[in-house]
Amino acid sequence: MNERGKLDLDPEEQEFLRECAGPPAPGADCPGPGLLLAAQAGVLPEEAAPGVASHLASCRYCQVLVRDLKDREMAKLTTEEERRIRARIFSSAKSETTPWWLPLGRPLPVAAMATLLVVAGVAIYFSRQSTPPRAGPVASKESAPTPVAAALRLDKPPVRLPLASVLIPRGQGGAQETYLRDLGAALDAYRKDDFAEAARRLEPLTTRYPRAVEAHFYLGVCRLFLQRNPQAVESFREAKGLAERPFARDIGWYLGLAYDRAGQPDLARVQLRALCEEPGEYQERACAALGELGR
Amino acid sequence: MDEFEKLYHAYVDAVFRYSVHCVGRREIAEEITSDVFLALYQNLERIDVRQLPAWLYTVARNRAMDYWRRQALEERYAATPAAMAAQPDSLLGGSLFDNHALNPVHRVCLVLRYIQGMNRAEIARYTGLSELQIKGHLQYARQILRKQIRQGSK
Repeated sequence: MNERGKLDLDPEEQEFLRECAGPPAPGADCPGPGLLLAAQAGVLPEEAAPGVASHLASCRYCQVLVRDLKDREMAKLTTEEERRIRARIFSSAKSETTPWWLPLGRPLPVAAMATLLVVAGVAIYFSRQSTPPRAGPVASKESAPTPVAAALRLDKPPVRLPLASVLIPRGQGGAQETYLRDLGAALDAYRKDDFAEAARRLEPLTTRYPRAVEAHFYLGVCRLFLQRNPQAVESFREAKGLAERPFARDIGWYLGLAYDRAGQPDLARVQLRALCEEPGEYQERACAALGELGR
Repeated sequence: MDEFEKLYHAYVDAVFRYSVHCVGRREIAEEITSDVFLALYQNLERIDVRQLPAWLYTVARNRAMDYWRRQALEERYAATPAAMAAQPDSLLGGSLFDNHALNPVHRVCLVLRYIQGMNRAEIARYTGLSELQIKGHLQYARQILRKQIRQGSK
């Protein structure tokens, strides 16, 4: 059901719709995306299917929506979702009366039993976890994370510039004042959660001032929020080569997140292991994240 | 257990994707996927693995059909097609369809927000994105469309 009349549009959105979209069409009633997909998949009850299918055949917006929702990247299973699925399977299997790790009448070799006990221990860990680990040092604007994936959630780091960014010229022939002014404009957009605009401003900065570790770092964070994960990895790797303590720890953490989201868990583990072994603000969270990755 | 793990890793992505295509909402797709693999685990010794992945998709499809049967659909959508008029194209629509500057994720956010009238939390349920990410995608998409529309009107 289209509830356009009840939508909480901010002023910029209202202006955009006035300029680009025209007034809302009265009487239009698009079924929700789930119904549209289900109609195309043929899983709707007989009574409902013809109405939804007929609408889909005539509404271009709904056709585009279904096409895009079925795009391979859109329907991709995320790491957090996979962990929840796995935890649910283990939890349900564990609650059955017959021990699921012990096939009836078949003794197991000691090594196999030890392996299964470790797996059972992981299942018990996931099924008992009801509160997320202690939150990291950065504030998150998002609602409470799902307990199973809490350690690897993406939080927005506050703007925190290393002293070097102010004192040490960042590029060849580039005036420090110009750099700080341009960086400030980019980070203004970042503070307002306008990651697309912040990334647009930070990208040329990293080219003009290649040794500007903070520009690479915040560009990497923007790219993570924009789901450009491989590009985020590139940014954090650039930053890591330039950073000194304690900024290096921030970069190591976000590089680990970026590797995880880019489908490179082995490289994520390398970053997390280093943080887990070093006392500091990320130690506890990195150790928890290693436990969750656990593959 | 090794056999189950192998099958799980081989098919979990595909089963999840299929489940999303059947129900839309990702948390429902997660439940269906979990049910499918729990059923696989419970019946592993009886199933001929040559029947996979078709067997998995059949279980997922049945679960999806059960889900939709439980929804209160009949009285809303048993109506004639005229009751669900399509949105007429607006200037937005003209720029949206087949726009190569926009990725599927941008179009999905735009349509769900400005055509379907969803807030960011609702969009998150269908996309798996965070509300911050959705906000970012919408801002980017609006910038692109605004630029294109202004250039087009010159």
